[in-house]
Amino acid sequence: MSVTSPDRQQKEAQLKQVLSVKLEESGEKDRIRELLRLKLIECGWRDKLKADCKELITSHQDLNKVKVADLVRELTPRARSSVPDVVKKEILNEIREFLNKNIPE
Amino acid sequence: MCQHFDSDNKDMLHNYKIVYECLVEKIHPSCLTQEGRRMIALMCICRTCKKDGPTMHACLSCVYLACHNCTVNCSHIVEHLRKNQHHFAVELTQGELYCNICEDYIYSSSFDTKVYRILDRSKLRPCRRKRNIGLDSWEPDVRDIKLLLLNTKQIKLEASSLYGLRGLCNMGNTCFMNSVLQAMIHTPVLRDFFLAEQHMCVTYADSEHCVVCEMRSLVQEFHNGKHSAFVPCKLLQLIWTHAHHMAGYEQQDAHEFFIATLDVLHRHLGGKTPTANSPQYCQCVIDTVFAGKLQSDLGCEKCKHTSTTIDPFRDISLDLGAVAAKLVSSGNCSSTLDECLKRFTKAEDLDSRCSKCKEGQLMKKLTIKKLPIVMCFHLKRFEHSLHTKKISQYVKFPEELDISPFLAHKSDRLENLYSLFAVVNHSGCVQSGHYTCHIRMFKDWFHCDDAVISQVSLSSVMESEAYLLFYHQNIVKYS
Repeated sequence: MSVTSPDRQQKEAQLKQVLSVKLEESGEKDRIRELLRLKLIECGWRDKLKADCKELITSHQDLNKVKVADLVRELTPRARSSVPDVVKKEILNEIREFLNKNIPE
Repeated sequence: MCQHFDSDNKDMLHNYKIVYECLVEKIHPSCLTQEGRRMIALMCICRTCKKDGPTMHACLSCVYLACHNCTVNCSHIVEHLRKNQHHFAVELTQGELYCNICEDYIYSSSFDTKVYRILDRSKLRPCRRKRNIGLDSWEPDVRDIKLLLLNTKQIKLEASSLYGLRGLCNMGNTCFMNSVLQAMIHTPVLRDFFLAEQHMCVTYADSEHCVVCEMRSLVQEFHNGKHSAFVPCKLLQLIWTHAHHMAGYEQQDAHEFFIATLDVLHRHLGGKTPTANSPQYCQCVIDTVFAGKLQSDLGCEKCKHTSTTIDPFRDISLDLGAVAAKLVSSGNCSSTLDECLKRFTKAEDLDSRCSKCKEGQLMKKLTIKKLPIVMCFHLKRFEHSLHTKKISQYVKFPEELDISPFLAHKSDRLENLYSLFAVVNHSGCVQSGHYTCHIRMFKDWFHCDDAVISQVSLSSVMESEAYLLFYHQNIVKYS
């Protein structure tokens, strides 16, 4: 990719903003989010993450001192990388399809 | 529990409702139009950094929208809350509450109840409708109504009610059975299994011959509100037929009866005994509750070669110690459960040489590999030599037991903590003795002497001459 000019950067940001509003207003965002939720449950990702959370919580000395932020910090990298490729692909396809239909001229 | 959140605050509730309807669940009428959704999309942007995330939050005092990114420690919502002395925010994907004083997400069931009362739940997605399990009102269906009409007797439960306590009649030397049954009936996880009708009889076409079905009706008999002593004759007869060595009107050993009963129950539940081909753990309720695993390490002192075997157990038999046995005739001496466990897990000198280096002495060490939900300890009070002798020495045992030191893998988990809930006692001597049982109901202790039940103090339980000790895991891990 060539060096992006500030002008181009700004345009990209604008386009991103417009598309994300479109994604939300068409209701597609909620639909895709729900789809992702179901896919992640289906492939066992959620159960695995739940188990990891439990493990992490019970390994703490003082249960009352564990914070959600700690869990998020510790588990996010692992959770992100363990999303199966098929799921990523499917969601990506959904978003791509939406973009193809909605890219303004 | 958060002490800062006031679930009665009307403004909070009002703001929460609006945020929840418009931004979290999007069930507000204005969210159904394209224009409305466009507004939401434009609104859900962090007012501080103008980005659309991650994890957007809304302040519950002034509905300021901002992001909260805890992975990189950049949170504009926290900045806002701190600056304006506002304390609470709501997260926009799940509707969770955040308290800035606790610096964490909080849950208030009374607030949740109020929220769900004012929301139109029929519009929520099914997964949301179920979010608060405790709040789902129960609507009896046709079958429930039919059953309710058949069972009009109501039992009111109060803190002081002795619900679940019942004596068992002695049918001639059956106190060993009564004591063990009392302990089993009051084993919380086992009791819940039977009260919840979890047993599906598969072994026998008619439940007449199934010991599990009989055990279930026994547990249910204990909880039907009657207080008169129960005669468990059918269970006795079934155990006689299925465990022949228990048959006859003689005084039996309570521990043997316990083992035999668990085994018969396990068989009738269709449980499989793990074999070499399928070392899988049995999933029947008996093994789920009582089975643990013992690890035995056979190691050489010299070449440090160890071989490990793992065996299942349903109870642990503890030696009172040979020295103690000799001393007992000379006078009072006592020992503790802790000492017995230490002796049990101590490395033991085997009288053989290592097969690898042919030189080193072999040592055997037992440790607990997997903890059961209910831990049963059997104190070997009966010494079987030429004549069976009883060791009556007092063994001190704790109300709360931490099993951590005796584990194969040392850990300081909460699962290692156990509390005492039942004690089977033996009084008298080998020829003429009597079994009784102490059981715990919530915080109260009761002494069950066949048909007679009396409330006792904790100290009298702790001073009793224990034969079988039952400990229940404080935190049960569901898997």
